[in-house]
Amino acid sequence: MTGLFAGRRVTAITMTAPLVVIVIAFLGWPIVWTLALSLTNKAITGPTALHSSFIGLANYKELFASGSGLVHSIVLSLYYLVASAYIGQALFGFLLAYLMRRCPYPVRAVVGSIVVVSWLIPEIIAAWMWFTLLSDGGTLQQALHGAGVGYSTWLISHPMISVSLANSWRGVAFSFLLFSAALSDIPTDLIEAAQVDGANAWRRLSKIIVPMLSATILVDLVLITLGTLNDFTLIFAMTGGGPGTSSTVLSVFMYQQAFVSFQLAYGTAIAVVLLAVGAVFAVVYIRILRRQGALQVAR
Amino acid sequence: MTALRRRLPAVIVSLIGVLFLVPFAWLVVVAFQQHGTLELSGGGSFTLDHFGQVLHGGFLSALGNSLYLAGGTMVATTVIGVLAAYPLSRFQSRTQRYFVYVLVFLTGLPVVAIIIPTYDFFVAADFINSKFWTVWFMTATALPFGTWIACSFIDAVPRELEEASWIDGMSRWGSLLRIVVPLIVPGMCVVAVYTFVNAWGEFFIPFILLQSQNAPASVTMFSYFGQYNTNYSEIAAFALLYSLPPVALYLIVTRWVGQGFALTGAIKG
Repeated sequence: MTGLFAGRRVTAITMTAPLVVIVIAFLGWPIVWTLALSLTNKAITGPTALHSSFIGLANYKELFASGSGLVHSIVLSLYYLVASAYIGQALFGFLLAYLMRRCPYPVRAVVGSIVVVSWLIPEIIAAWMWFTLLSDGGTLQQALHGAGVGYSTWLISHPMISVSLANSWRGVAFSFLLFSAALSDIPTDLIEAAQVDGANAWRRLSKIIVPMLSATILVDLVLITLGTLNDFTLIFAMTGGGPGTSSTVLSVFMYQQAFVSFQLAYGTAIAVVLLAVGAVFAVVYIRILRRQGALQVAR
Repeated sequence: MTALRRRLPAVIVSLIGVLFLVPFAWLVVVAFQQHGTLELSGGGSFTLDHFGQVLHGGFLSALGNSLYLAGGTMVATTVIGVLAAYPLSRFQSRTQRYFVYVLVFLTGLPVVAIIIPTYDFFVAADFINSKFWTVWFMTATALPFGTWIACSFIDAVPRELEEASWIDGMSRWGSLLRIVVPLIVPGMCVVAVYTFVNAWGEFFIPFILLQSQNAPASVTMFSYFGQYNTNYSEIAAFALLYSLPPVALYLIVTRWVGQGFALTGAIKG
């Protein structure tokens, strides 16, 4: 019995070894190094590029001082989160999945495919499509001009609305698919029974459907929060964080400090803030999954 | 009145569908024009020339780089993920449980936040601008989720199937390769396609770690932002070709494995 156990252990270690090595080398080590770098004055160019020194919490003091731009970036990240993830993806995705159940098959198939394709194409292409759509002389300006409405590009006058619209369009499919699957799991006789008992559509939705979907809703909210807070490509490509700093969300702020202003160490201090937020939501996610019994993998 | 009410959802959903098509419209129309501009009309007559032009030179090598990165990440993630998922699914212990927690935790960590030390490390180790090493970094970012999905597929394979083979003297490696792997081929495809689609569209990692001749299509595409008075048709044709593989792969896998892409199943555990 012990021999078998020893064999099992050796097998388990051999099989997981490649995963462990790669994850430690390319994820674990960078996380530790992020924390370490944030306590130095390392830059990409100049005298501190090669000979950086330990400066304690100075980067954090600078970051949390007023006027650093951190608070501004946090507010913009929250705006992006609420507008594009919670309203544009979760709420809209839910409504779409809910309405879709009462549509004939052709409508479901066609609209469902369009929504999913917007999600499958590379993010940079989605960004380019929205960039050209909203640009001066773009399709939107033409269409509004035809209708007699003036338009000056939203990318400059309303950058946050522009990127939030684009991210809602691109990301709604994820919540939509999640909610569609969960809605189809609700037994139809349950809803029909409520209908017979005289519950109107609103009561059926609020008293039966939403409570039955609460687990899915929670998982969806946690996952899109993580995805949206760390989104970089769409905003960076469409507005570059501008004009000025009017769409500089946390991830773009970090990039600019580290790779445009060459303040590598200062950038990692911002990265630590991102890591901390990500860690909190990851722990919340684990707790939800544990409560649902989804993490008791082995039998 | 009731007939109208019954049709209302279909009308609303159809309208949403049309609105969702708007951003696609310009790209698709302009790709087939002679000299596309930002406007829909006035780009000249219908032509397929741009698709031919795009398959030469810089465009083609960018797509080749994307294929290298996405293909490499896909193979490495699927093989390493399934290998690690087997003991995680089969051997119950406290270590195994904590291991799964760590995997889920890493799934939630932002890649954006660890790019600076990775860049620093790639420069110091002279890995910068190396597609090979970029694949390993991308594999590391894809592995936590990939391994976790693979776990749920191996869980679904009954133990009894393997037990018979152990009595016949087959090793764990033998039963993994000869019994479990053939049964989870659809699951492995889900992991592979999910990883490929993500890596194919990845912009941030190659944007920081790769340059010029090693840059994938996403980074090439970025250089066209804000370039006015260019021939938009050529770029649009390139954008269409670059968007095609993820859509095609998704269609093939959903046809084969079933609707919902097992994505929702995997997330629910």
